[in-house]
Amino acid sequence: MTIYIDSEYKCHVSNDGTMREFDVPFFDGKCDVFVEGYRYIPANEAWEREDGETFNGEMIAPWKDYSELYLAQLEYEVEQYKAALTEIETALEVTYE
Amino acid sequence: MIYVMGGGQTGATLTVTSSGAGTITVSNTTLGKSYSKSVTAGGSAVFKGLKTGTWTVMLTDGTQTSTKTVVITSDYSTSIAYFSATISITYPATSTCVVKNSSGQTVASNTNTGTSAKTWTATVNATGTYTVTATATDGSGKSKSQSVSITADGQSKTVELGYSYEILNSSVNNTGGWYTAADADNNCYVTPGANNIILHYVSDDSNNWAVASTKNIYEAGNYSTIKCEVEQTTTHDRGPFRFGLSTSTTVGANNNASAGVISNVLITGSGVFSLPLDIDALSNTEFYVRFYVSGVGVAPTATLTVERIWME
Repeated sequence: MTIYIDSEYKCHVSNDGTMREFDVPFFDGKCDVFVEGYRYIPANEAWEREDGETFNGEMIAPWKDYSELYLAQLEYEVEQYKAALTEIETALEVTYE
Repeated sequence: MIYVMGGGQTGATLTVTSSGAGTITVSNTTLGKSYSKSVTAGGSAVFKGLKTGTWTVMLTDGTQTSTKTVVITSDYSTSIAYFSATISITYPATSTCVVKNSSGQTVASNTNTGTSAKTWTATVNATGTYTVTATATDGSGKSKSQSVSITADGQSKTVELGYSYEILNSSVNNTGGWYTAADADNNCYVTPGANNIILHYVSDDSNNWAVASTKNIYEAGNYSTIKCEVEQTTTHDRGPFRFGLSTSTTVGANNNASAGVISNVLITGSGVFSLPLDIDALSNTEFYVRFYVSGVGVAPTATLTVERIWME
């Protein structure tokens, strides 16, 4: 999935014109809320956290509470399933109860 | 319900027994009446001639206050105590420990000059959120904090503070053992040791993969970083191995070495070195620690020996 990172290495699904573009398979199939809760440090780059700890790339780690991201992704996948089921029902002209 | 037996006295008698010293005041705003008496710890204050109704009983020593209401229909006895809750705190050696309320005021403190962790009990006299902080006194600058919420009188909470938690090192093994798996043609394989784990990768044109996952599951809690110390034989700048955290121990039906991985860092470099992975956002998430490799002709043949894993 193509993502964009800002100056704090936070991920975005769209570019505001100042971000860098990367293809990161880790985010394939992930919803926008999930992606934008992560930080991506490219290889050969480093990010210093506010407490002084330095993290070297390539690193992929959430910066938002992961439990919230997990819930958002779960809800996204449920909606995807419902949409797929509706398509099937439409194609077969049936309704599954 | 007990009714006044008389005795020729108008009103009821309220007896208030206090666990703490101070001044007891009984008041009824409807009647516009208020009476106060001093009391010693464990002593009682007796108020006679009170008219029926709802009375407020307050105990205070000028610093702490406790209040309750009683409905008087006849002679009545009650007890009152200052709010008290406890926090049992275990914190590292050679450190100080401070408990602060939400206003930043220190309400309790302790010092540990010993060489091992110390447990003490802090008493707080109000509900609220308290911050417990341990600070090393050895000049290392290490510090660790945790918040604790007190919501009721008599409540007891436990806090354990540590500057680090060892999952694996030369004398500690808190992994619970390892789940290991590798590709069928054995170009990759895993060798678990008593206090280390070794992943082997052979690069060829087939799909090569291997996984080693702890069987124990962890929570970041108040730790913000998880680290590993490894020895890697490759000098390739994109070494094949990754250090990750996963919600699963296994590779799943599709032999996916990165199944369930929620964060990871590429292990680059050769020789012995340590590297961190940010877990600041995982305080509410349980995870397994995983080392894995997956790829086709990704890098030269390499061996990764994991010597230590810890959180700090």
